Amino acid sequence: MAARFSGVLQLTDLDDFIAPSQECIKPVKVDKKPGKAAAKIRIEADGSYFQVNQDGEAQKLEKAKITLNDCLACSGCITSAESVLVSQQSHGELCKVLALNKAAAAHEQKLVVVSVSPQSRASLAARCKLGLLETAQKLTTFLKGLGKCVHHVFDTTFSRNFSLLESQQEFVRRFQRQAEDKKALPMLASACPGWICYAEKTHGSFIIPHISTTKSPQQVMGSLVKGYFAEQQHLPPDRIYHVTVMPCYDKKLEASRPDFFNQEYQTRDVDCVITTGEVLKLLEQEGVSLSDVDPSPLDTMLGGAAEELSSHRGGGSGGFLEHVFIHAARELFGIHGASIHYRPLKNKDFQEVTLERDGQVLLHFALAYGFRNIQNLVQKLKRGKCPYHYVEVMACPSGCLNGGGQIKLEGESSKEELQQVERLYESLRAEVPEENQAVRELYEHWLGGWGSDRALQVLHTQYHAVERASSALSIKW
Amino acid sequence: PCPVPGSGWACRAVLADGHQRTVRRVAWSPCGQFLASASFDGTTCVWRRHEHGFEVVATLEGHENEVKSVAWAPSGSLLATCSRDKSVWVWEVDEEEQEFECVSVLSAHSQDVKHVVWHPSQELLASASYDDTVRLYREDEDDWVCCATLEGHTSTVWAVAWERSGQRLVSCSDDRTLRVWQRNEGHGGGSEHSWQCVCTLSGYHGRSIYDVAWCHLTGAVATACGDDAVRVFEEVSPVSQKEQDLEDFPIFPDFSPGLTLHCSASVRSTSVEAEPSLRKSPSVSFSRHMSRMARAVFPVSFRE
Repeated sequence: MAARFSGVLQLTDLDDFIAPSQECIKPVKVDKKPGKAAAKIRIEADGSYFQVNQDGEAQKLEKAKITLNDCLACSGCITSAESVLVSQQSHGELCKVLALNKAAAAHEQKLVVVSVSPQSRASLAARCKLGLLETAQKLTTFLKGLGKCVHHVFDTTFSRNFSLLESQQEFVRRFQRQAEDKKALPMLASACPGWICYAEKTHGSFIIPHISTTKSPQQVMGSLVKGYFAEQQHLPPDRIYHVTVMPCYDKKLEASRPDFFNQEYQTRDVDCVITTGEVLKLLEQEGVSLSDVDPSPLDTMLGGAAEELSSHRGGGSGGFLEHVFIHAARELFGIHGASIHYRPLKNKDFQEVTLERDGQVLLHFALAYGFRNIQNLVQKLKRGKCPYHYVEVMACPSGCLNGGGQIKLEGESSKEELQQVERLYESLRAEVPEENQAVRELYEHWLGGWGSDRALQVLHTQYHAVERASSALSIKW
Repeated sequence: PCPVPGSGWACRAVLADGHQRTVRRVAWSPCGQFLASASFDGTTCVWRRHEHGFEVVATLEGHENEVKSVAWAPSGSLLATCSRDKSVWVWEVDEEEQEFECVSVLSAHSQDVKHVVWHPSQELLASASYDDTVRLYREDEDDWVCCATLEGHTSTVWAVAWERSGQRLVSCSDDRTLRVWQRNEGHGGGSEHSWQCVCTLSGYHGRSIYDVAWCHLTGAVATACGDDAVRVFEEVSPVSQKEQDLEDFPIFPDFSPGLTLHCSASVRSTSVEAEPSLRKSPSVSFSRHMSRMARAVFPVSFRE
């Protein structure tokens, strides 16, 4: 089970079982009255515990409870939570939810929305030997047919526009305050939950100030669906069930973060994440071959059908480096249309890009994919030897197109498969986020304007260092 | 002046500030100028010797928990570490920065990794684990990959040792056996080799075998066992002509048989059980090389 998360998460203490010597380190908060030292514990016939103090007064003790959210990203025994998590967010669970939803009374039924990532779509297209547009249209039909109660199918390329725009802006702000704020730069990308969980657990408060507060495309979609879209449908957020299709399992952990849980309505921004591979399983389960499915028009959040698909420049992991670079070159140095040349360093997952003028380096950016490169980056940072202003950090070697949840093609080498998926992914027209009309409309009419407080609140998040208490492990030689 | 062997030892340095927990393993670099120390505090320190002692030139961080072993590659420019976090890391010295950078994180094992050791002449790495396997790793394009998994032990593999030629390695295990593995030449033009267990020595050790060493001079294999004994194994050519499918083994000319423990090997895997009569022998004789080595460790005895 543990093997399916990204390499970075795997390394962070995933055990198959809670070994007898390993304790749950999650502190359980119980209201305790300060009292006398000695007390006895009495166990009742029904298994409940009573604390009996010296005067004979008995007080029932609460059972210590750990919720799934407590377990997440805790450095104690994540995998036991992981198996619960995976079963709560698998395609099997999705089918159950959909069946229940179908059978529910009209006023209790939820509107089901599925947001598909472009990486998952490219992987499916490669597997089913279809073009991207066909895949999107046929997938829409298939998903809407599931349990007969999936109502809308969106593309997270749309929400990615917001992530890119916010990241660009955030970088410029950080660059401008780097003199007063030593932790402003380097800015590290935040779209990859494998990287985020690792950073919070392993490097905590040292690294957190460097991580971009911009939400990932998945979570922006969550905010849009449960916020804007819910309002448009005249529904409260908890009457929408939001499913995303993602290229990795780490995204399941991201969806379960407490920061993405709406306390008021007791609902998550993203209720269920299924991987590309799990969609394939669904197709197999239903005995459907995607190529045989009729195409449906593509939904858009603002209504109306989309005529074509679009993408963003900068590779299969979202294009954060390129967008931040080009925007910064323009805003900070007045250089328009800056060209980007990648210089590979130690390995192909570690590459540099610089912006120079008159022999002076103005911007120094890097891509760091995969655990070994993340390691080296963080170590350089700790020693104060990191020369970069911005780093696009991703946990998976070769980026999101190579995520742990993508479909493994048969009969070809994994390198060729990946190249095929990359070719498909890059075949789309790249759009510029600033020029997307729907995005501008949402900023103006729903987010209260560009750079507003509301935009900051809806599109940004925060991180939490995980305290690693030293547990009383028995030494093993 | 050269110290006369056996005339005594002086403590030259106590490096007490490098680690916060047990130091589990130390290793000298091939050039002798550096010392690596692996610790349960999760770090590996690299010390440089100079006139007046040693100083830390690098602290390799990154393992999640206890580092169990560290080893220098024969070239001296690569270092390997392994940990209870199930991973093996390969580090490279960056000449310019005088720093070590992580070149690969290999998570092939499914449990605690106990030992890593490099091939005597090639950049080929072996690791031994609580998951009962030995794994081999080599560089492939710009990353390291696990190129072989040696399965056969039924419990933790504590240590591995390479034969001088690098064609074979021996592993020792909690399952009280030693296994000798041999590389087969690959078919066709590929550089892939496959490894086979060509000999299993069982019945000799009363408890877990914690360490094994393969002498590069004499070819003898020594083991450290939880039953309080050190054992030494040597290969011999078979006495009996009846044994078929046997390959030639290197024999040292001044080797006198005395008590020797058969390790017969063939292309097919073999198990060797110690005969009950051999187990009770009170005397052991060794060749000249052997006895010097035997004196340097502990008296060898065989349990009844």
